[in-house]
Parts: sequence; structure tokens; C-alpha cells
Amino acid sequence: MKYAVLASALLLSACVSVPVERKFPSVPVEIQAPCGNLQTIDPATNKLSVVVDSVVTNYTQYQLCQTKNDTWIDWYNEQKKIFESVK
Amino acid sequence: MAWKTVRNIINTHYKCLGLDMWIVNFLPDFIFHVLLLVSLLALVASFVLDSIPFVSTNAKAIQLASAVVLAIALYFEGAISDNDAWLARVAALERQVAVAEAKSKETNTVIQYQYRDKVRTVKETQVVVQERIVKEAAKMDAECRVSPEAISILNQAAGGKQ
Repeated sequence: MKYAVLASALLLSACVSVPVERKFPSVPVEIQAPCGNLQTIDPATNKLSVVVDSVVTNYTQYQLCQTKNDTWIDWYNEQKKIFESVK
Repeated sequence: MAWKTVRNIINTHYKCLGLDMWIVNFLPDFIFHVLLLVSLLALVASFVLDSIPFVSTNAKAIQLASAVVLAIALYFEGAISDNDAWLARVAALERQVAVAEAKSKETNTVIQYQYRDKVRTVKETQVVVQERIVKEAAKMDAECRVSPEAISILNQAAGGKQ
């Protein structure tokens, strides 16, 4: 046991912690939220205006999600460029 | 198995140095400079100052000892130089990492602004379109009745379930 302690002490005595530490880049909180579900239409309605309103809401939902996805792609590409600039 | 794990942890988190580098880090540099100078002087003296009795009688021993010390001192001078070069590289890398981190934060801020701008545009468009729906609702509802089957199909598609 005492030899093991001595051996560990000797091994560790010649070690230093790695001096340069790199942090993973942070991501804006807004784009971390998942995309919402699409809206469904009240089955009791027969009004076209209600259907169109729901479709518009879902288009908006898609566009918000598309924007979020595009932002993730931009974020990844930009951060990758910055990461690779350190050599 | 356990030993391998310990070695992996050490290798992951620590950069292990040889004994020579440990000595370089432990002792001040001037000791090696002094050793180099003294051994060099002693070696030269052992050849040149043979008129001095002590030197002439122990010339071989002085030459041998000073040659050994000179070799050791030269080795450690090299190690110091190598260590300094590595420290300079670490410092340069630390500066680069700091610049990259600042750039990364700046980029995040720009991306955040662009995202908010796009979201605002999408939401503003939705408001405009919904105002049009309100305006045209009476006309649309008078001309067209939507069948329950059509609504069921749309809801099935929106739910993404079979």
C-alpha cells in the first residue's frame, strides 16, 4: 500500500494541469426552445375564415421554426470558423 | 483495469513531464547558467593553467568532472530553452483563445439581434394577414362552407399522426 502511495506521489509530482482550456461556445437562449405544435381547427366549425386563420397561424409557426433552424445553422458555421481560427 | 482507468484520467487531465522538465521547473534558471559557466571555465583552466600546482596535478580529474558538468548544464540549458519555447506557445494560444471567446460572444450577440429581427418580421406579417382575415371573414364565410371531412383531414395533417 505504502509503495502504491509513493508511486502515485512520484507519478503525479511530474504532472501539471493542461494550461490552455477551451470553453464550448454558448448558444443564445431563444433558439434553444423547441418549436411549438401546429394548431388544429375546431371540428365543430364550418367557417372558411376560421380554417384560413388556423392555416395562417400554422404558416407563422413554420416560419418561426424555420428562422430558428436557420439561426442554428448560422450559429454553427460562425462558431466553427472562430473555433478553427485558433491553432 | 482500475490502473488503466487511473492512467486515462491522469492523461486526460494532466500533461505529464519528464524528470528533467520537473527539475527545470523546480530549480531557478540561473543555477544552470552558473553551472555552465563554471564548468566551461574549469575545463579551459585545466588546459591553460597547468603552471598552477593543484590544476597540473589534478588536470585529468578536473577535465573529466568539468566535462560531465558541462554536458549536464548544456542539456539543461536546452531543456530551459525548450521549456521557454513551449511557455511562449502556451501564452500565444491563451491569447488566441481569449480573442476567440470574445469573438464568439460578439457573434452570439449579432446572431441574437438578427434572430429577433426575423421573428419580429414574421409576427408583424401574421398580424397584417390576420387583420385581412377579419376584414374578409364575412365574404369568405358567405361564399364557402367547409365540410367536417376537410377539417378532419387538416387536423390529422397538423397532428402528424396516422
